[in-house]
Amino acid sequence: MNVSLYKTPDAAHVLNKSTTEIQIDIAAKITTPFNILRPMFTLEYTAARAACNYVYIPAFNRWYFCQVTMDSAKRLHFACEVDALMSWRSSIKQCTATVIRNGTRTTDIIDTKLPVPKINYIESHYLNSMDYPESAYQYAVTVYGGE
Amino acid sequence: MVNESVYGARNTWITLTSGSTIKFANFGDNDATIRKGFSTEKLKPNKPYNNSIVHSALGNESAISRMRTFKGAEELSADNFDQLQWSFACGSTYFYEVDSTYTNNAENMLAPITNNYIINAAIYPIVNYAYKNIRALITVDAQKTITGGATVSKSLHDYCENFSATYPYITAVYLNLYEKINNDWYSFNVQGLKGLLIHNVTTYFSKTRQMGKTFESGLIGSLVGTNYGSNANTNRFIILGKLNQRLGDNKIYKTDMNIVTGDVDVYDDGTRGHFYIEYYGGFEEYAMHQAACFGIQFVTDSQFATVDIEDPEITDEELNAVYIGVLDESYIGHGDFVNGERIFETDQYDKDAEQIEYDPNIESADFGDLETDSHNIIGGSGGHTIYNMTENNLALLVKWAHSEESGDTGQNYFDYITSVKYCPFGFTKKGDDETVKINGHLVSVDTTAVKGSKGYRIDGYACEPFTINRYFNDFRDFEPYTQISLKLPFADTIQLPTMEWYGHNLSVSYAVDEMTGTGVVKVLRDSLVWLTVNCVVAIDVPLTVLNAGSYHNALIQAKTQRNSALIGIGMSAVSMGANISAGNYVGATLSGGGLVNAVDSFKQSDYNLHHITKPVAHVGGTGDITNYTASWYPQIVIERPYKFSYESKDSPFVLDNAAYSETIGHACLKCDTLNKFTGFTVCADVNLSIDGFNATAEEKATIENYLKAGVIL
Repeated sequence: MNVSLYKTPDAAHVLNKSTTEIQIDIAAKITTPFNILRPMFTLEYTAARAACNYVYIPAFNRWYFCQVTMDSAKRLHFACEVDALMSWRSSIKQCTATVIRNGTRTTDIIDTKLPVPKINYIESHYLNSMDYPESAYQYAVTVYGGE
Repeated sequence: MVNESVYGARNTWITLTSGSTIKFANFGDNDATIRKGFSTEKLKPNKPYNNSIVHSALGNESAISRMRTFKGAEELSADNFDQLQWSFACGSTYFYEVDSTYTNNAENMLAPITNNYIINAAIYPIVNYAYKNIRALITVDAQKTITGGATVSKSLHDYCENFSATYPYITAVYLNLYEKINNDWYSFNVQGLKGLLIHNVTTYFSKTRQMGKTFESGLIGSLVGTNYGSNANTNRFIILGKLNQRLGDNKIYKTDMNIVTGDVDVYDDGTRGHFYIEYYGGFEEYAMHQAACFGIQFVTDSQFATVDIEDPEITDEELNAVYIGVLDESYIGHGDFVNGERIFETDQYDKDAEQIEYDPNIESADFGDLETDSHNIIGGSGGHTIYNMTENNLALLVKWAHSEESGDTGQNYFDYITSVKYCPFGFTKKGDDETVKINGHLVSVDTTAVKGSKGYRIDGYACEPFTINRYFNDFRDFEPYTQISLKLPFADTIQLPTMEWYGHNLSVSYAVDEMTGTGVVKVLRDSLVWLTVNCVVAIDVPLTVLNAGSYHNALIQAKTQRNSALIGIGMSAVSMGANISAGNYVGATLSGGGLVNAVDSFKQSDYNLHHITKPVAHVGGTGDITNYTASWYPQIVIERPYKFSYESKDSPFVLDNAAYSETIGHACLKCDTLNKFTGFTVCADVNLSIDGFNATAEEKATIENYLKAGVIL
């Protein structure tokens, strides 16, 4: 069964990870019995292979995180753990979901995680164009029988 | 402000498309153009002339929209080309009385109505939508034959009764304007106007009017004018007045027209035309409907042109000869008109505060309107008269009322002074000074005042609008994070819900009743009245001996209470100290309570001392002289969350920057497929059951956990 060795700098929660190819389509013998989600295999040591942290197995059509250990005979043991996000990224993109947080700021919904200072600053504007009828006639006297 | 969504963009109203063609744009389904071909059309009575400029300006059924064109014999020459212009566009061949200091191309060139008019323009019910001090006499010019011959110029009624048979060809129907100044009606000489149908209602405000102000209430007009200033042959402009707009709210717009003054070929055959209507049976009523579209007072008979409907001696015949056009809530006239009736058998009428009965039709047209207008209102004063006085005048009046001379009459004149109001910025002077009269007795000292024309008035003090804009452009722009309040002078502070105000203009206006000093503040959101708040602008002055005595009694009583409260504080403190030293904390608490009570008592008394109101009734809670120490200007106060001190200029909201977006994300609430999202995303619920998604249950559980914890898509 062929395996391909890669390196990825991305964290596990990145859906579409960037990869750097180390060596592809290497014939490797999967340790049996195997779990398709956590396969293991062994390869001869090279420095490049030892730097591998990401594996693709075409037969399983899955991507794996891997941990590499070396024994005294200078053989590299690859313990893999499936990366479900990368492996199923196309299908995931087609799934419907209720998104409650997103990187794009497009909403007036209250963001409870954004710290907002409780101290307010105050902006003040006077509507200073009031048209008061300024005159010396400051008293209005109402009398009976004026006319 | 002219509604350009209705009237079209003002800079496109009229264009000169070529040497001999004037184009009227944006006034109907199709642009109208004075062009070849119109000359062959026969007039069709009672059918609007669509697409004319005033067709849109005044509504589909407006007066001038019914203009007709036809081919006439009299040629238009370069000199009278304006006939063509105003026949279509409701203009004048003669200049208006405009201030020579106006420069060409300036807005508001026409002299508008002054504050003086606001006061005198109290509107009777009969003229509910009209400008009370403007009245039009419908006048007809007619001639014996189409090609000319003898002509007459008569009032509409006179013409229809006596001259229509001999002079059946009507070349002009226009409105002679009359203006009421200081209770007398004056006619304005409409020199040389010749136009078809009704036109030219806005031209005659004299030079003495205040310049630079905008149009005041009561008149709607449309006009293209010429020949003002030095560029008489090249400048034309249009104005569109709008009814019942408050000072400052309305604009008169004009645009310039450059019209060739050479020969103009108007018709197919190269001749130039003239416009007329041939007299027919229903013409008189038709012309009245036309005039009614303007919503002003009008008469058809010259003998009633200067009838004063406020004159209590007015006869029924005179009263019924005055009509008023009814406008709808959009201030568009549809040709309806009414006249009024008096109520003779009321006390108010006997007291010469003449009343005219409300016409329910007009009332319904008035109420329910949310426009910004502050209608000038007048009402019966029940035999009372308001005088506006200076402080010196008032002092002289009081001195006289105390004098031996007034005492010799056997009357206490203070009994007849029912209210004295003080307003720090003064009341608007309404006319000339005159000697004060109390209970029919002239005050025989040189005590003069300005008598209010009627019992009370409502006036408004407007201010320019202020636009409230968003700041953060996110949830922080709303409550509870941001709060907007409006402090209203002489009234209260109100909260403005942010959601309702962003992007809107705020303005306020005051309507004040001079007799009571109270009024209403209207808070306007754009052009709509959003809220009304009671206000007390003018305060009572304790004038009489009785009232002044009560006032001082209250002062003495309050001081006494205050001193007693101070003694109470000392006693409570001594008692508390004794109890604490004895370790009696319960007692200390109790005594502390006594201290609180005593302080409260002192504060209450002190409060009373400083808040003694004059022994007169106040409406509302703000009628106090202290109001005047606060700002007289409305103040908008916006409280927003403070910025963090480490926020930089380039990144004003540091917690809201890219790192925040990538690691925490912004609040969101959207349901969609995930391919619609990018970047950091947290889901509440997901549906992983779609065709072809054949991951194991463990994988799907992992995926769901990731999506709920946050993934980068």
